[in-house]
Amino acid sequence: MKQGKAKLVQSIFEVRYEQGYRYLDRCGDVMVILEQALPSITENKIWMTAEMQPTGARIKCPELDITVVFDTYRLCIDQNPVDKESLLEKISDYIWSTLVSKFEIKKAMRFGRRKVYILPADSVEEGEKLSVKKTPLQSWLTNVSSDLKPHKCDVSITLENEDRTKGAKFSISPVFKLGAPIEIDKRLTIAPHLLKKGQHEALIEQLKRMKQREEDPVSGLMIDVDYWWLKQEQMNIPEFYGESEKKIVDFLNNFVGT
Amino acid sequence: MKNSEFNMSGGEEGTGRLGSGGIITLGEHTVVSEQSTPSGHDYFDDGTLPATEERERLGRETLSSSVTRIPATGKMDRELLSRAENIVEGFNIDDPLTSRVDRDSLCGAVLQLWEKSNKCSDYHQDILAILENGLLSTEKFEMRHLSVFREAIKDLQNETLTQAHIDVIQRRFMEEGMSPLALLTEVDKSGESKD
Repeated sequence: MKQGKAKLVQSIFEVRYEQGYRYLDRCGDVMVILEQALPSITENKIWMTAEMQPTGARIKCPELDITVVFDTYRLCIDQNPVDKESLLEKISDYIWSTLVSKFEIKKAMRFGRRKVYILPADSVEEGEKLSVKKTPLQSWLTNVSSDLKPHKCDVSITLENEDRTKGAKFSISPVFKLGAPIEIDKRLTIAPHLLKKGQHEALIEQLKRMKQREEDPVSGLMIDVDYWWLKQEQMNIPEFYGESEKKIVDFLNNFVGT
Repeated sequence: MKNSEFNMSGGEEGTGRLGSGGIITLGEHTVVSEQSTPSGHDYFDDGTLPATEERERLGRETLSSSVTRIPATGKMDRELLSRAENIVEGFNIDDPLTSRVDRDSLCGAVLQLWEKSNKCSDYHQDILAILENGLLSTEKFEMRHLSVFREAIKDLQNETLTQAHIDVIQRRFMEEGMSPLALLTEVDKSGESKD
């Protein structure tokens, strides 16, 4: 099986803060400001208020597939799927500065950036095989039973600096969509010109499968990278975005192999 | 393709992972919004499938209301704004003399901001005017006043401002008894005249 390119499917930015209780007094003010301002910083995309409750508020932009959720202790900006990621930093910066001003937030406790990629596969079985192949624990517990072999791996690792102010969690897990084939049709794994008949149909099928794999894979290996800053002196969004982006890409490239 | 369409092969939910059934799992990891949990994906794991999907509790979604004035962008002097913010943070409201000095410093910073405001938008200038009025119309500063000054300065740090910013900050100043006529009427926080 030829390994495809990892596809970014979800991008999240999250801030956790202390004493954001003024959310309860001033959520309406923030919503009005965001409704008016966000279209202008997102190339006139439409933003819709989806929910406003004492437990949390939600505003979303269907065109960019971005959902923003905030309440008394956290702000989460979630893009899923990710087609145009470039605006996320600008949006995050704007919303965060608005919340700081209106909720009188003095301190951000944690900045988190999480990106989820899919390493595509053509079937459930292939996705699971990929998870075993890409895991360094292939020999772990394999000598316990002669008839039980590694079938799939669901692994995560958390890395942190000495004072635990910066950290990352890297995890992988095989995933699939409802309706994904359990195993791939053998005919599709053979080069069409080697088939005795139906070469043309096989070629068409293979091309379709390749396109599906690139654009909307039915199964694969989910690579989930989470990078965070905790209680840092300076909690600055552009700086955090720059650093988190680099770290996440480094993790991904190291794992997938550039 | 929505990531929330993906489902874990194995069915286990870890801390901070995409939990099942729209549950936000906390911990040290970045939490995703409810919308992006596997219940929203059309990918499934081979473990126990969620029976129901938590959809949005409120289906009511509204389009952005018509905007009376389009948002405007502009940039104010960052250094001056930072200085003004520091003055507010360190403002001494207990000692009348120091309070007077801090107030004069803040007025000085605002004056300098005016001098450099020709490149910023009308909205920035509106907020600056409201801030200046507030400063000049208040005799004795209290914490609630400083909180509004801080908010106005934070707003000025934004490059993009809207009419909503002006409306909100104007209302905040009025609520705290800071308006051009406040000195004459001595309007207190309840809005009733003390006379």
